[in-house]
Amino acid sequence: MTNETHNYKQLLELAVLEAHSLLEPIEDDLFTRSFHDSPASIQEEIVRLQEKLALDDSLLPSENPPAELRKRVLQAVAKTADQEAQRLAPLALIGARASAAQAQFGSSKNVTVWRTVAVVLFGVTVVLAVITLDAQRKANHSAQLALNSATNTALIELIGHKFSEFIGNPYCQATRLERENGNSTGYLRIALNERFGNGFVMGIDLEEGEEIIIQGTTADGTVIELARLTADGPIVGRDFELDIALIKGMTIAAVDANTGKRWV
Amino acid sequence: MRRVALGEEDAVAELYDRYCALVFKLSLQFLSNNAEAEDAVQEVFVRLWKTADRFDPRKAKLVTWVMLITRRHLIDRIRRKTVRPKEQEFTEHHEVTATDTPLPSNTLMHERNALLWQALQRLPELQRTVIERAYFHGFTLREVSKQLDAPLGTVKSALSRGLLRLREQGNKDISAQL
Repeated sequence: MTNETHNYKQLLELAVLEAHSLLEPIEDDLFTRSFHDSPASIQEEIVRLQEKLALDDSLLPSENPPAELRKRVLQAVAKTADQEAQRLAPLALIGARASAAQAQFGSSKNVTVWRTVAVVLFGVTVVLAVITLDAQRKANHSAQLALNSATNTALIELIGHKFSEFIGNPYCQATRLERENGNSTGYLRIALNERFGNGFVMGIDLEEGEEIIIQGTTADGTVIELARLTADGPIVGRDFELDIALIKGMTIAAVDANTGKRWV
Repeated sequence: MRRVALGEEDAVAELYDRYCALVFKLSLQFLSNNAEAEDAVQEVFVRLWKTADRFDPRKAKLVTWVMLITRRHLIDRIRRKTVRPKEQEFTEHHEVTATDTPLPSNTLMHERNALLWQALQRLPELQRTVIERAYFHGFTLREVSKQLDAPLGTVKSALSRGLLRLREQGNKDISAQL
């Protein structure tokens, strides 16, 4: 006898006991598991065997149930169903109350709509914030441009149109000079154009009547005068010419023509 | 059974019409009088309604399920109601009169179940004893095993073979399978 045959016989034995409700719950579970694990042909055999056992009434009493029993049974089932429904009614009410609560705030559809509106409004707010910041940045930029433009116009009126040739010019190297003694009043800006051999000097907030000599020291140490600037207003300026060959490596300095005080 | 589980009145009525006779007859075999059997039928159909959602048509035919629930209910009822013989009494009884069945003594039951009693008497002693104790007195297989001081496997086999032998008359082909 193989193990397989033994298991098959055991399974049929258990099937008979199960059909007679004689298995304990644990054994019943084991049988159910074995049943499902068995081949389909054995499953069919067990189903057929149990059906035959269930249908067999050869040893049962021959009496039939009274006709009125039908009504009693159906009423009993209906009554139990009603009792069960009443027992479960509180659970159903939980859902009903939840629905009622929802209804106070509108239907779930409305909630969805409001949520969508909220999300859209949030999105719009973010976009508007970005647009506002961008507009502000552009406005600042425009204001700056306008201010620069106005300033340039004013500067041109004060110090001549040549000034504009040195603003933003990539061939120009600019130098800022302040008084050597630490007095911070006024400063000088000198621009040298390496390509065309010219330059421009601008003095801002210089003392009235002050005369400044702009000097250049070439790479070999030669000091040459580039320009003289007399302060006859808050902003003064002038252009000057110089040899292109001298510009490379030149350092710029200035000196007060009357006092000899230096600007570095 | 799906319709029964949903509480459809027509489905319950249909279930009753198909299986009431079998359920009633089996109840009569277990219980001592018609009134008890009728009560049992009523309770069985309520139980069928309550457990309808557990029916798995892949594992059993509907009639198998109905009779399984019926037998389970009847055994539960016997276990609840009947004052079963104590283990010691049963053992003593078994030792003294092995062939004297401890079946209910109600005369009407004997008359109704005459065929069953006759068939029982023809069974080997062990098979008859385990059927009486497990099937008609509601003892669990472990209890019967302990009472008879026999291995559980032996009790199971004896019970299974005995039940099939009881039905040999109507289902000779089934016993051939074991």
